[in-house]
Amino acid sequence: MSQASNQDVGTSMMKSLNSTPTGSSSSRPKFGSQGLADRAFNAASAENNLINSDLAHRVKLNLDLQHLWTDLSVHRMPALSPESFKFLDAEELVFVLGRPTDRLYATDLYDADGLPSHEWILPVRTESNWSIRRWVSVFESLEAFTNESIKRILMAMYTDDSTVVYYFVHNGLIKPRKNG
Amino acid sequence: MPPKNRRNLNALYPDSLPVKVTTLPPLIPHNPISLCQYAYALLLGPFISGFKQPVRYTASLEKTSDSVSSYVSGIFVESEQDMQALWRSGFFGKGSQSRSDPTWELRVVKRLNIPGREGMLAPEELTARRREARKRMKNERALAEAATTLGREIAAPALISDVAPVEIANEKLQVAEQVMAKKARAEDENLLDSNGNIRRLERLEITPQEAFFLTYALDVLDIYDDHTGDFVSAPHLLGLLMPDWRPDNEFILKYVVYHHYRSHGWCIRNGVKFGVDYLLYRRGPPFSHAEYGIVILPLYSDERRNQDSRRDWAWISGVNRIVGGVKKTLIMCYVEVPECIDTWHTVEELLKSYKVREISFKRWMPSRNRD
Repeated sequence: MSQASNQDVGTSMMKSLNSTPTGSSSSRPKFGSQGLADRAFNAASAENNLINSDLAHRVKLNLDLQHLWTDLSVHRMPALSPESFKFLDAEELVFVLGRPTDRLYATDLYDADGLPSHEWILPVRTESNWSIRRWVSVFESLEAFTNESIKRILMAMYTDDSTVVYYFVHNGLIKPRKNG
Repeated sequence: MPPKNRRNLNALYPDSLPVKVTTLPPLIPHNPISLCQYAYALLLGPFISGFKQPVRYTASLEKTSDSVSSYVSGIFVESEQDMQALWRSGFFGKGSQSRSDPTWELRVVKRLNIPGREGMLAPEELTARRREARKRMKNERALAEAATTLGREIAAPALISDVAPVEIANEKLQVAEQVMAKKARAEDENLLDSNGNIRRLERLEITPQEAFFLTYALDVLDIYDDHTGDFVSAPHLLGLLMPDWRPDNEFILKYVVYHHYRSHGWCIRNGVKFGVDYLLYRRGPPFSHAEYGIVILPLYSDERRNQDSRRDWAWISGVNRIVGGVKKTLIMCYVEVPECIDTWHTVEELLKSYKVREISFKRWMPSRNRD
């Protein structure tokens, strides 16, 4: 990804962050029986929005804190053919973009700066149902948003105890690797 | 088999549930002295043990609303003390930034080399270490085998199996620590507050089933609505978790199964990584691997509905091969769904209208398994 487009999505991310309904951590109430540690916890979340109940932000935080990815950001984009998403939230898709600690496939190329390329991550819940039409829409929406051809994304499936399982979803077939 | 990490697991995890149980002295009906002792312990026990308040924990409940409705999007334990206590007595919840117990802070201390804070190894590090040692062992074995086939005299093969695992582990640890120290990121500045302390960014997320078990069955957890600050009682929580009140609502089916196995003394945890609903541990994750994978299936009194919701062979076979591949046994847990749950009065009566039946499932190969 070029530096210029990176800047653009960065600013659009800031906008979407502010409009997140659950994002205003200042409105987070503090209840009586909490100890000192909890107040520190709330203060921390007010500081720069690292804790956010939003699914995408939970996945972003997990990639940041547990898997040590870098350069992470959240992106909202209009869903093409939103009718295939009638059970999802709205007419937009939310992705996380970030850089892994190393390339995810042995055949992946590194970026010009010698670092592994960015990956697009789609946060989902185990409850969501998937169809081929929906996957087509996911890839098309992302391609329209980035103006790039997207070969694969990572699906981050978030379960109700904060376990996140990651799966590759490839757009079509991929060549088998030599010496797998 | 003794625990590999040489920690005294029984001392670390003495309780299988977060409740304190007092044992009464034996009661022998024809022995008046035992009678007195019994009555004394029963009546005065609570006073003798120093007016201990029953232990209570606090969690907060987050809701997300979309255009249609609002639903529970997570239940979190946030105080460090409660997080540790709920993990240590019964292995409830999961650290939001850890594989299982909340060790994120510990790992940050090690990774960023924050001085003055040495401690135990997080399970993630233990696994990494074990994998490294294993890889090294395999490499050495391959070398030794190659050398033997070449016919050279080499004293190494005997050595390989005898290399003290501790030595390998220690050496590997040093390497791992060096690698970790190199990996500081720009993002890591966000992890510390202005005083250089690690910010508390990890919470313990508990599943709706765990939350309801802790509030309703054990009554040790107080849940508050994250947005309004209101106390959420057990019946209220049930209403939030099964808003449609269908007899085969996913929450209630999962809860019935959860309650069933907890009542039988099992440690029951999420099985999403293996494509099943639950995993059963004899005592808990630090003690041993899970022995069983549980798949929950509704069982209706109307046979047509059972036919409609039937899973096909490809699915069962697939799940069984995954579960079997990690040396667990698949259990299909059928929950008999009552036709109607409108007439219940208490949560207990509601739960009593569900029944659990199990079938355990194991692939058998005639050519291999003789017993």
